[in-house]
Amino acid sequence: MYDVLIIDDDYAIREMLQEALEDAGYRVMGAENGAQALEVLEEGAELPRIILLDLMMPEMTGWEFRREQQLNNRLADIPVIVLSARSNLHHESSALAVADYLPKPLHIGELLAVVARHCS
Amino acid sequence: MNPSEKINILMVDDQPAKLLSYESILSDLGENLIRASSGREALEQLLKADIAVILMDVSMPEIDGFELAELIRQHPRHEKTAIIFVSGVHLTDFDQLKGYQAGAVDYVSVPVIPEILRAKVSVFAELYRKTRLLEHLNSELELRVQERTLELQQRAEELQRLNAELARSNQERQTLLESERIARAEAENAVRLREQFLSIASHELKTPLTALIGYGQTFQMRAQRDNSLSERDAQSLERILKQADRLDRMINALLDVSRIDQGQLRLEAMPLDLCNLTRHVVSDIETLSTRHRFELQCPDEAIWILGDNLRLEQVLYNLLGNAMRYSPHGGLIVASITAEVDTVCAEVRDQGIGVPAEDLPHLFQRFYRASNVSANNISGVGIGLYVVQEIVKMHGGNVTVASEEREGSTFTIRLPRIPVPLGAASEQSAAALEH
Repeated sequence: MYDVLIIDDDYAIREMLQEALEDAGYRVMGAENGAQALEVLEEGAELPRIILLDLMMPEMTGWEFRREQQLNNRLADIPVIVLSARSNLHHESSALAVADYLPKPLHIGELLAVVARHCS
Repeated sequence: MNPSEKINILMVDDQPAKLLSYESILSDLGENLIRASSGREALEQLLKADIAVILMDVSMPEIDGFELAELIRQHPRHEKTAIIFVSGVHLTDFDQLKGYQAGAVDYVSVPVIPEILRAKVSVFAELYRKTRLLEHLNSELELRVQERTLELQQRAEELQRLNAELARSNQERQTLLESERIARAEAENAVRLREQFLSIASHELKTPLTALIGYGQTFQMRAQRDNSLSERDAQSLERILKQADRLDRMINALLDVSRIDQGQLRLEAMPLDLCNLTRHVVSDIETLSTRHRFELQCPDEAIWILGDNLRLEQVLYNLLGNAMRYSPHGGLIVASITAEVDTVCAEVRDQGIGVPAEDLPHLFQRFYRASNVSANNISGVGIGLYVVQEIVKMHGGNVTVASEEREGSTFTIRLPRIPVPLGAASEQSAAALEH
């Protein structure tokens, strides 16, 4: 059972997000890239309530993951929040049709507010 | 030689009667007839004139015909002059051979048959004439060949020169192309490196910063919830986070400079109320300082411009932030908006350290810092105003500064004003209700 799936290639960021979210009472899973995340999602009996998605990752990028997710009926409805340091984030996010986006570095208070909104 | 020109025929005989008889026979030929009554006289005549044919008696006193012929032949000019011997005695084969050896050409026997003499002389005269003509043509031809050869030679030289020039200019062009290629490759490489820097700055610097700020905030939230930190520790943590934020802003500013340099800074312009925007920024920034008093002077109605909300917000944050930073002893900071017919002025005025007059012209250059900042211990990189200027320029406006050292500075932005957009009135009243 878990609530949030974090997809980010940076170990420190995954750990930090996990700590922040667990502090707020969420159960968290992490994946290093899109491919690993798809594996977790497809093999798991349960699905997360929300996905936090980095964009620039090796193996399978955030964009590629999002395409795969949208093509999969079982996964398509899970809300996705993009977390990225990219400059034109709101453009990219609207192109990806995601639920929300937050620029890196993150404000943890904002992150928790956004996650809470989509998990309620 | 002109073909109609008369040629000279020399008649040599010691007997005047014979000379007379030759003359009458040959007069019909219409040529110039010259008499010589002795070998000596004949030689004299040969020196004086160009002789075509010599008619000479073989048997003469002093020098006989053969001896004379030999003398004549010795002169290069007369090597080939035609000689007709007239001989009273029948010429033996031996005599004929002798005559030929001396270069003679023909014989006439006495009694002279006028027709034969005339015919023989005439043949030689004609031969002479033709030979001369041929010589003339030959020399003319040779001259022409020489001329043509010279001309060709000149052309060949010219061609060679042109070829050399062409080769040189080709070489130069090649060198130029090569250096251009190198320069282009270098420029492309520089652009690539800059893009790489952009990517490194945005990703590689921001990733650890994200973890740093995230952990800091998580730590802070946990400590606040559990009340687990002493006041002193909490303050240190607060300062750590503030410095991390500062680092983030600095990275963003450097990224902005890099984007501006690469023409990658894009605006998303839409109609916006500059008063509303300024009000929002001032209310946000005045919470950051207790030393400064903020005053907002704004007309009651909305002032519309076409602009990028986030970028103009950045401009106002930069100017108001500067006003605070460069008035370290506090004081009044005034933000005012005034509207003219087709321009809008946004002014930020402080009572800070001001800008020395010599720095004013350079103030908007990137990485430029006024000379009085270090004495006042105000840190910075010198890109804020550069970014402000570039963003304002992209909006079709301009930014100016007026300052007096130790009195304060006034930064003025002028932007094109637009008419009230359709449907704006209701939004405006809605916004007014919110406030």
